[in-house]
Amino acid sequence: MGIRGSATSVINYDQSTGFLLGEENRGLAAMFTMMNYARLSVGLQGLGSGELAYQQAARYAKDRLQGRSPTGAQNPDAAADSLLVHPDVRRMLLTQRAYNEGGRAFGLFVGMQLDLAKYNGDQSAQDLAELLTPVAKAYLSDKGFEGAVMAQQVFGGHGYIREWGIEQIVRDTRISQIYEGTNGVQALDLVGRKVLRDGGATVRKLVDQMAQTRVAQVHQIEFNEALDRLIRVTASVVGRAKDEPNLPGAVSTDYLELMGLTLYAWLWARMAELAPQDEFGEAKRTTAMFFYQRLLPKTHGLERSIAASAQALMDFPDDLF
Amino acid sequence: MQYQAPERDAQFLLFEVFRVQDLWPEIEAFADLSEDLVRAVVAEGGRIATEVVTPSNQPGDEQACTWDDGEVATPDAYKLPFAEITGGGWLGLAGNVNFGGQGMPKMLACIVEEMLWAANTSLYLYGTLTIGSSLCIETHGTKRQQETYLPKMYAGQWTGAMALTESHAGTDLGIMRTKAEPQADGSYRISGTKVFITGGEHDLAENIIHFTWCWLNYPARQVVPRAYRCSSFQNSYLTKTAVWVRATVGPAVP
Repeated sequence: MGIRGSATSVINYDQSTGFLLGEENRGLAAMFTMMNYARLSVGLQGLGSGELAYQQAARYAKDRLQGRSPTGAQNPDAAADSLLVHPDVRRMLLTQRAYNEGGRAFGLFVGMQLDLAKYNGDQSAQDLAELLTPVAKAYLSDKGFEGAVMAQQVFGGHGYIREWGIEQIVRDTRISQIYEGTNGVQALDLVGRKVLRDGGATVRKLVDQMAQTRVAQVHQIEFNEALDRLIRVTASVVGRAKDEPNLPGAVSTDYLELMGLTLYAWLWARMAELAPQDEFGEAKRTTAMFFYQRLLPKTHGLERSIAASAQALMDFPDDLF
Repeated sequence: MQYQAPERDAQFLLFEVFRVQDLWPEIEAFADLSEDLVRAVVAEGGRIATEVVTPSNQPGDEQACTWDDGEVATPDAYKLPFAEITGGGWLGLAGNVNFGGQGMPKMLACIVEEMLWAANTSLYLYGTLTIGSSLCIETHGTKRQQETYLPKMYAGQWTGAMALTESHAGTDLGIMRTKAEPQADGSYRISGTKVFITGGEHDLAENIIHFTWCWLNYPARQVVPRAYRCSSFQNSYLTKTAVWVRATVGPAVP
């Protein structure tokens, strides 16, 4: 489908010579060293694609004249107004922007934990890195792909043909949701392994760490609500998983998204607080406002769906699939 | 396709949001990193990504990789940017300084990685797998392995590939079939077949190190109780000229 310049191979070993790396029977530890690095990197792949796609779509939306603004012609001398007058086009562009810039901040936050763990032997940073690695892989790659598809949508028919390059971004980034452990496997790792193994203790520590930072006043109340929601949902999942073996797998993808949105709520409120008084800062503050008004409310729905038992998934008879 | 590296945002995140100028002095390995150097790395990473790598993105997609009687060729447009990425030491940016790496923070590497992914995803895959497998050797390898592999991998002379997936199993490591048999000289003989191996064979480097997930003492039954599971993580050293490795490589999966 994509990454056509990457050589994807079948390897027949045919009695080739190999050398042991690490200790016998400790291969899993060695593999995870590489895997954890690769998982963050694949998240960054999604982010890179999302950014590349956004830049194409924003440029196209500014240039493309089509239709008139609902509030009256903005560019009366031209045949039509630019795509930017249309609220739904702006929704798509701002959604991409909010996820890209939130994602960039998130990627650096995970990178920071890896540095602290590797060079300072900081155990709480190590715990956080382990908790957040599956979120970085899955959430960044999911949002990267969604962003690429949204950029394609902004282009209309021109996004479907090869010349503009958008369809290539869609094809190339799709794999980031699949390889290095599918995003479903990442979500299961997050809930089944990382959250449940310590009863949600690392999540609570993360929430404490986020709560201690100064955020933009205008977002403070909703930010606090988002943190409370994550704590509440985590406690509920930990509590119910004991009696319901199918629960972690049933709620994991929704839980991962809830965690991603909560992290982005923190990072956006931080960025809004620290943004300078110039055009760059203005873009940050208005994007933060968009994130809080239009994207963060998804967490309400996620809390509701996570509250459901695994029953709705498991009741469907196998023979009827 | 045009691409502008998000340099301003990166600088904002580093110096205003996460305040690395306060954080890094607390980490001995980064104590000497000056703000000017960090800004210069971000700017130069952005320049390589936009000016050198981005132009190879669409031509590479159009030409794609080719397979001809066992020889895998990457797109023509990849040769120059890959040489620039490796020659500039970008694969060793966060690598171990004792083996030719630059020892920069992962945070900084994240920024450069995003830019290189954006500039050309397919091309950067050869890089990211090399970085990931270098980290594996840095963490788990013997000193001799570190000395043998790391300088060449940081320099992109040798690249890494990660071989886990088999045609019948991706997520479930327990049912893998590739096996390693110990030899008298301390090496292992590897047999089995791996699929979907990114960068498993190509013409961008003189050697490819295959990090291969194998069974040691392959179990008699395919599915064995957990207590009997023995697994080992091997790297098989494949050179195109040596005769003691025979690896056949299929065509690129479309």
